[in-house]
Amino acid sequence: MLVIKNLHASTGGTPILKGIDLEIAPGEIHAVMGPNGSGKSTLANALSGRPTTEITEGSVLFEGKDLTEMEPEIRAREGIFLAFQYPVEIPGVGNNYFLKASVNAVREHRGQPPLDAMDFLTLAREKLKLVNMPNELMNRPINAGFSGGEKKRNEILQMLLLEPKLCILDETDSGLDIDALREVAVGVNALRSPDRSMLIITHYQRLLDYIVPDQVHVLSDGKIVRSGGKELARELEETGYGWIEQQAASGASK
Amino acid sequence: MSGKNAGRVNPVYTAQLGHYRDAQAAFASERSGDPEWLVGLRANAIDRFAEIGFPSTRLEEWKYTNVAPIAKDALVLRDGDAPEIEGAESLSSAIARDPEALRARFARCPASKDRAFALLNDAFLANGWWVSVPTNADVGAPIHLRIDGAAAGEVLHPRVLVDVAPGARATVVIELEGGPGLTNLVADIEVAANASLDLVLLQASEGDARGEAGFQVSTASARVARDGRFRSHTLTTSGTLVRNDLDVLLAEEGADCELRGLFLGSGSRLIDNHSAVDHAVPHCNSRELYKGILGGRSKGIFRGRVLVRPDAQKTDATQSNPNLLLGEGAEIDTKPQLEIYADDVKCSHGATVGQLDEDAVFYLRSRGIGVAEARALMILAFANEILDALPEGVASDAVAKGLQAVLEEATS
Ligand SMILES: Nc1ncnc2c1ncn2[C@@H]1O[C@H](COP(=O)(O)OP(=O)(O)OP(=O)(O)O)[C@@H](O)[C@H]1O
Ligand SMILES: [Mg+2]
Repeated sequence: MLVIKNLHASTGGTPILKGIDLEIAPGEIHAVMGPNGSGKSTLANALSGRPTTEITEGSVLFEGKDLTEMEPEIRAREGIFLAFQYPVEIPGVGNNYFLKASVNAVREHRGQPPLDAMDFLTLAREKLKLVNMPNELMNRPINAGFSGGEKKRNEILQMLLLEPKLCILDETDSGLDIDALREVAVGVNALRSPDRSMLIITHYQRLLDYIVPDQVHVLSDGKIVRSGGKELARELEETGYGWIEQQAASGASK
Repeated sequence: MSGKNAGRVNPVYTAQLGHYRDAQAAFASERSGDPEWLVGLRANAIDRFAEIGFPSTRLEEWKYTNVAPIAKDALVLRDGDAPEIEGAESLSSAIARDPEALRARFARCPASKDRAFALLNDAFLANGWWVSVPTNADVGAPIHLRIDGAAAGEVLHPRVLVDVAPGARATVVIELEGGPGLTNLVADIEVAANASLDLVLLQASEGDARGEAGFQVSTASARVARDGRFRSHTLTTSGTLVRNDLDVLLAEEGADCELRGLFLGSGSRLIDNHSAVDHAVPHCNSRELYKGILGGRSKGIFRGRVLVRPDAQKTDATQSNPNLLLGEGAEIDTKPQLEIYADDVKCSHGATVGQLDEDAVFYLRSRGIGVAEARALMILAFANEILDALPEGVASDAVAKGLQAVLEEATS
C-alpha cells in the first residue's frame, strides 16, 4: 500500500527527515513513536502534501503511484487521510458545508454520484453517533471554539465520512480524557478492514491498547532507529527514550 | 518644496470649472420656476464649487485618492427623473406637492461647506427620492432605490432623503448600478427617537464584469435621536474609483449606530471609505466593522474617525478594519482617528492586514477540496461576517457576483 524509501524532507529549509524507510501492507497498523521534535508530524505532513514540507530526496509510492508529485487534494481523493495533531479553526466556513463538499469531492474522484443534502445528513448523523458528537457541531464553523477533545473527534468524524485507504493519526489521543479516548478508538476501530492501513503517531501505550499495532517504529532525529512488535510500545513507555542517546553516543565513540 | 510654486495645485482639479458653471446656468434656466430657496441653494453651491474646484491630493482627506480621472473631463449632466417607488416619493413630486415641507427638510441637512462633490450635487439638485417612514410604522420589505449607471462622459447627481419617524423601523437599499461615467450620490438620513433604520448602499454593478464600471462618489450623513438605531451596510464590489463618505451624529442619549462595510478590489480599482462618528452626548454606542478584500493591483483606503465630545461620558465605541490582501500588488491604507475628549469612555480600534491563512487552505485541501475552491471558501468566510448580517430581504447575490471576480483573480 505504502512504500517509503530513503525519504528526506525539510521544513523552512531545515532538514528534518533524514532517510526514512517504511513499508505498510494493506490492512496493517503501524505505530510511530519518538521524542518531541523527532519528525513524526513532519512525516505525516510529507505524506499528506503540506506545501511547507519539502521532500528533498527519496520516494513515496502509494498503491504504486508516486505521491511526491501529487497535490494534497488528489492524495486525499486517492485515499490518504491525516488526522491532524493540531486541527485548525476556520471561522466562517460551516462544518456541514465543508464536510459535504469534502465527501462529494472524494466521491466524484471515485466515480460515485454526489450525495444530496438529505443523504449527506443521514450519513453524517450515523457517523456523529459513532464518535458521540452532538448533531449541533455540524452547524458550527470548522473547529471554531471547539474544545481540544471536540477537535480530535471532528477529525475522526471526517475520517469516518471519507473512508480513506490509509489513515494517519497524528497524536489523536493527546489531550483526550479516558472516555473520549475510548470513543475515538471505537471510531477508528469501526474503520478496521483487511484493505485499510493505519499509521498511528502517539506517545502513549493507552491508545494502542484499543488499536493493536502490527509494528512499532521509533523515530529519532528524522530516522527510524528501531522497529519491533507491539511489545516495543510498552517497553518504551517503561524505559523512555534515554537509550537512544546512549546508543548514539556509543555509536559515535566506536 | 520651496519657491513660490510650492502652493500651486495641479490645474487638472480646476480645468473644467467653466464647463460646470455653464452647465449649471443652463440647468438653472430650465428650472427657473422651482421654489426660490431651491434656486438659491443651487446657485450658492455652484459658486462655492467654482471657487474650490475638485479636491486635490494635497488635502488630508483626499491624500490617497486622486480624482483627476474624474476632474479632467467635462462630464455632461444626465438629466432624468426618479421613478415613483412604493414608500419613496420622487423629489420632483415632493417639490410640486409641498415645497415648504421640503424646504424645512433641506434646512436640516448639514451644509456641504467645502465638500466639492456634495456641492456639485447641490448645484444640480433635482433627481432623487424622499423616503418618509411614518411614526411607529414597521416597513417589512426593504425600500429599494435603484439608480441607473451613468454612461461614458456623463454624470448623475442623485439625492436621497430618508426620515424614519419615532418608533418606526425600516430598511432602505440604495443600489448604484454604476456605469462608465460618474455617479455622485448625496444621502441625508434622520433616525428619530426609538426608530430603527438599516441602510444598505450597494455598489455592485454587473456592468463591472464588462469593464464598464466607472466612478462612484457618495456623501451620506445620518443623525440619530434618543434611543434610535442606525445600521449601515456599505457593500462595494464595483467601480474603478470609489469614494464613500459616511458621517453619523449620535445626537441624543441612547443613540446607537453600527457601520458595516465590505469592499472588494480587483484589477486596478481604488476604493476609499471614510467614516466619521460624532459622539455628541453621553451613553451612546457605535460599532464599526469594515472588511476589505483586495486582489490584483487594487487599492483600499479606510479612514474611521471617532469623535467623543467632552460631554459624551459612558461612550462605548469600537472600530475594526480587517483586510485580506490577495494580490502581490494590492494595497491597503487604513487608519483610525480617535479624538476623545471625555474620560469615562470605552473606545477600541484595530486594523489588520493579512493574507489567506495557508494552514487553513491546506486543511481544506487535505480533505479533498481543490485548491481554487479552498481559497474561495476562505475568502467567502472572511466576507460572510458582513454578508450574514445584512437585513432580511436584502439579497447578497449582487455581492456574490463581485466576489466571483475577486475569487477568479485570486485563484487563477
Ligand atoms: N518552519 C520550520 N523551520 C525549522 N524547523 C522547523 C520548522 N517547523 C518545524 N520545525 C522543526 O522540525 C522538527 C520536527 O518537528 P515535528 O513537528 O515533526 O516533531 P514531532 O516529532 O511531531 O514532535 P511532537 O512530538 O512534539 O509533536 C522540530 O524540531 C521542529 O522545531
Ligand atoms: Mg507532532
